Amino acid sequence: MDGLIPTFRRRERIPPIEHEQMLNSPSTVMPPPVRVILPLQDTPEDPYEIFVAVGDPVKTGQEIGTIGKGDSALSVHATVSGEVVEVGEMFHPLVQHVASVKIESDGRDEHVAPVNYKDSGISDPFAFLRKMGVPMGFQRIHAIKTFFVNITEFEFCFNSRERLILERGERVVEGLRLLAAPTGAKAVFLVEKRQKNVYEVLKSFCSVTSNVDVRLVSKPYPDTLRELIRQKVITDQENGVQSPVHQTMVINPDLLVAIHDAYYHGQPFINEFLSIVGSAVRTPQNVWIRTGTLLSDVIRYAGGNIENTRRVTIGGALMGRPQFSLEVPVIRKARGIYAAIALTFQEERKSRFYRRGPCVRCGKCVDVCPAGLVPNELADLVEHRCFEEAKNQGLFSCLECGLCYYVCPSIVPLVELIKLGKLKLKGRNSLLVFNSYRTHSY
Amino acid sequence: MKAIIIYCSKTGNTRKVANAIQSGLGGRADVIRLDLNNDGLLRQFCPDFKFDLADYELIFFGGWTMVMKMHPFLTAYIQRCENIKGKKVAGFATGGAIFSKQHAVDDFTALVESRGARVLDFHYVTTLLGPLLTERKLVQAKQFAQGIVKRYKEGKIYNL
Repeated sequence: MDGLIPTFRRRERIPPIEHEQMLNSPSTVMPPPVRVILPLQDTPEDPYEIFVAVGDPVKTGQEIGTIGKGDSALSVHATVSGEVVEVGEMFHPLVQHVASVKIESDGRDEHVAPVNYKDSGISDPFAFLRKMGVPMGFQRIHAIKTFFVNITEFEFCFNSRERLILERGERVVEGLRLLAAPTGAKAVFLVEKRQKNVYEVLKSFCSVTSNVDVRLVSKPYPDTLRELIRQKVITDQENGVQSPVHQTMVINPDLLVAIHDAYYHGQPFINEFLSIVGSAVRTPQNVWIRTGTLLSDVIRYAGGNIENTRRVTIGGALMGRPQFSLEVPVIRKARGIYAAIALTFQEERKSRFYRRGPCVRCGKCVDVCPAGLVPNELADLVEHRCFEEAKNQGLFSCLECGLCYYVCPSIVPLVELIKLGKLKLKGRNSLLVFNSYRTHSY
Repeated sequence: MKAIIIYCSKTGNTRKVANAIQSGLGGRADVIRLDLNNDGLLRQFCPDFKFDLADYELIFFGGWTMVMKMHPFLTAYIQRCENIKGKKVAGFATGGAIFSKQHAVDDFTALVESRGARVLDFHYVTTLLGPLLTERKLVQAKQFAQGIVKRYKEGKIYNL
């Protein structure tokens, strides 16, 4: 009923109104927040180490703990200077409670003396990066022959990657060179066809380097591609198989900037580049913030009204994780924040075109699926509890991108059903394994 | 007297009516457009948007009739907003056919009274997706707002 042709709810991938303005306006730097929460685990089962106690004074960039133990440990640094006020289990945006450290700022923002790679005395560059807290797949990085840098924006409300290339393209390319140099790997930038300005900028930088290539692709790649590769590696290791996929890795440009800064300036990974969008903020923008800043502080900084904010996701509108509280920290690898004012409709007042209906076999989900699956079949199988058949049809190849649900005219919760299938097949841990924000190395 | 107009519009007819009502109030009214998508998320930042109506004495709710009822966006807002109890409320609606008028009035009145507010008056505009929304109807909408203000100032309360 909602339109001239009252058959289907029609949806198109239209970027929001502020998209163009956001891309053309320079990014801002958020001042250091009053307090930060720094998680020391990705999941409640992870091992961790902690070097500080309650009451200790810390400086910006000081190492306060590690995610993981021993050789695979990834350092966590204090992102503001001040005092440790709490150590223990705290809210995490993805998993309910993990061990974290809460620091209250003293407002002075004193940094520890930076130590770059040459002065550090560490011979292995990857050990140095791990010490600097750059989250990457360090365990298999020596076997990598091709790095893919994903510049495409799957979440169409964000454009932080494009903005990053336009502002700090040199650092991105230099960071990629540093990453690929020890192993002699190739590197490929994936740029979508519509991102013409980014393509030109990257071309001008890459013409001087031989191992780096820029490729135009027709469709954007979701972030969970990285997780899909990782899952395949894990399952193949169980079965004893080797395939060319193991020699590839997908990384994001913001990590390359972090690598550059760590290598040359000795800066640990404490700054993140995020997009803040949605109707709850006055000025949607790309912003540098300190890791561990609380969501409420970020939204307030962007001119939002906390009272009216009803729906907040870390990540975009399609693949983001809805948040239950605004007192959760922004974690590493987060791509952006989507905050919106929302109204809940009464079920009996909804038109039947807003309610879930039966699958009409229109095939729209099949058209848009980036993994080439048949989502309606998978959801059907999961609904009828045929989990093994669903697995044979490629249930675990699903990227959980959410496009199928987005285009579905009958509003069938396809992604939720597919996630449920994964959960049922692998137990509760499966969702945590498929966690694209995971920072601990593999 | 502080007034607020809250409306939802899809093709722009209700927006025209809301603008006419605002001019009838002498331009001294806050306006909120519920520009939502189908999941109930507001599309753009609206500085005046709030769920708290404590500051206002006179409230105008407007929307288009969908399946002979007020639109879900507006009803969701009315059910959600706070401090509406005891306020004086006026409604306006646009719709394709005049037959929907009584249904819309009944629905709106039941909804507002369930929240403890009182409906002063209701104005219905037949638009038929645009062609029937003439200049004269906009003038009538303006007069409707002026009449409400006049009655409000004189202390008369008009019952449906």
